[in-house]
Amino acid sequence: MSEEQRLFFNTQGYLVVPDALSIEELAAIRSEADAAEGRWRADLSLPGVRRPDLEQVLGIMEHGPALFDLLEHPRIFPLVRALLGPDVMMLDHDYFITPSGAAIPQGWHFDFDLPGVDHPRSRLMVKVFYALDDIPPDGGATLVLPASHITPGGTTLPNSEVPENLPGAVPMTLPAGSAYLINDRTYHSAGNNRSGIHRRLLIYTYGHKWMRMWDEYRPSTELAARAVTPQRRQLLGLSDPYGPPVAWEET
Amino acid sequence: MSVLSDEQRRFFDASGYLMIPGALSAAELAAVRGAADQAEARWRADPALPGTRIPEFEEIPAIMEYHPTLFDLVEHPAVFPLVRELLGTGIGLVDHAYYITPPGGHIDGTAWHTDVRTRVPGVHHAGSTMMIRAMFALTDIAADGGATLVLPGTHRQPDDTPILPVATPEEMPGAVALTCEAGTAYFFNGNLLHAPSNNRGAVTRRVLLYNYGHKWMRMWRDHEPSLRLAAAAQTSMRRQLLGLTPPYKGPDAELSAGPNE
Repeated sequence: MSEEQRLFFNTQGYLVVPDALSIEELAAIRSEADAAEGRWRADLSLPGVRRPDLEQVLGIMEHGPALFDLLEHPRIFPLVRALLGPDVMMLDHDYFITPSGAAIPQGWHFDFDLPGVDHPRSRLMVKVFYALDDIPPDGGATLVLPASHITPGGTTLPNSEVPENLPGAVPMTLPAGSAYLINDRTYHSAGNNRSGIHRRLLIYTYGHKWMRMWDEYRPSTELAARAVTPQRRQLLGLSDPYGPPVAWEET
Repeated sequence: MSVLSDEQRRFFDASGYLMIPGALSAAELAAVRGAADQAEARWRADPALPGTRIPEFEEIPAIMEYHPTLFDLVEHPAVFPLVRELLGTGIGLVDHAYYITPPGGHIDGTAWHTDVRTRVPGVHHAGSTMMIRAMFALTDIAADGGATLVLPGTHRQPDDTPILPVATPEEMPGAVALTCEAGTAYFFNGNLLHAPSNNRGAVTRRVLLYNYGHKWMRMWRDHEPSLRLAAAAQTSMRRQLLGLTPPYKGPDAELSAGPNE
């Protein structure tokens, strides 16, 4: 992570990484995401959210090897590790599809507001978004409020009826293959999708290995068996929560 | 309404620990000690059971697995409501154990530590409360009897504050020995510098540990509840404490929740 990137994330609470995925990587990942979506639509017993304003294929890493390997993408994961430290672990992972026409009233929120934690000076989580399609300004882009991550726990910030109307909001309008990162206290919202295309994002959320993973994201037996390195096992929550972290290769 | 008195809260905030004399009645102490004795006998008879077996220290981890009385102690009314008020309604349990410190061992000054500074990265501990470690004394603990030592106020030191090197734990300037009578409970912030002291008395020191955190924190290695213990968790509070409820969303369990509500 460059000093410029670190400074930007520390002060603004988010970071954009253009061209995170090469054209070939994007094609392979999009192909697996499409297959996952097809399975998920055909089998209503598969977990997720099925609403007019959001479709969420839960546990996306379970759906294909490229989606599993994205967990340690060489251009993004070292940034996450630099921000969270060597005890990094995965908390959740999803494929978010925001259909054309989705309305998101009052969507602004913090992901974490946990009692007992000095939030402005702690960093519990880094959430990575990968854009699988171009996201135009009216295409439901994630909105972030820069520097909101330093607000103390319990702070209430304005929540505008139309998320785009919040003063200072910055939309993540990006080309396919881009990635962006936010932290656990960055105030954010999905935008209204007034474009004619679905917004497609992969989300990988990282925390620390002493934190609980959401129960529904605990790795299946099959996924756990494919975690053959100590690093991957730590990322899946299969290592000692309070013991020393694994060693990571310098990048 | 607060269950902590103003004096207790001020003392805990400033010093990082609190003593609760007489937390266990004589009858409760007898019952808890009886349960602990049974657990110890079973543990000694079966070396395959996990734990620490070194001359200066014996630890039976996951002590709640051994006896219902030791499970119920996790919500003791003289201690648990106070700890919950300090940690918040999203309280969880991180680990639990029975510590036995025989006379004659040797502990050096490197025993001083905090529970969270290195084990819970990513948190600004000087401004946070991530764990509260509650101990129940099952024996009288004299100053030379292996009492827990604490360094008051250190829970609010900057996270990179070095620990003063000392030869033995007792030599730490400002250290306070938590001497007490059997049946006393004491608890301290997991970021407070603390250490066991040497047991130079004639009596084996026996304490039960219940280390509380937040329900969104993982339990200590090998402390995830057995199926039997999970089945015995009949209240929403007990399930929350065992990590059997959703980690990051409510509702949090109420203190007064009854069984099978």
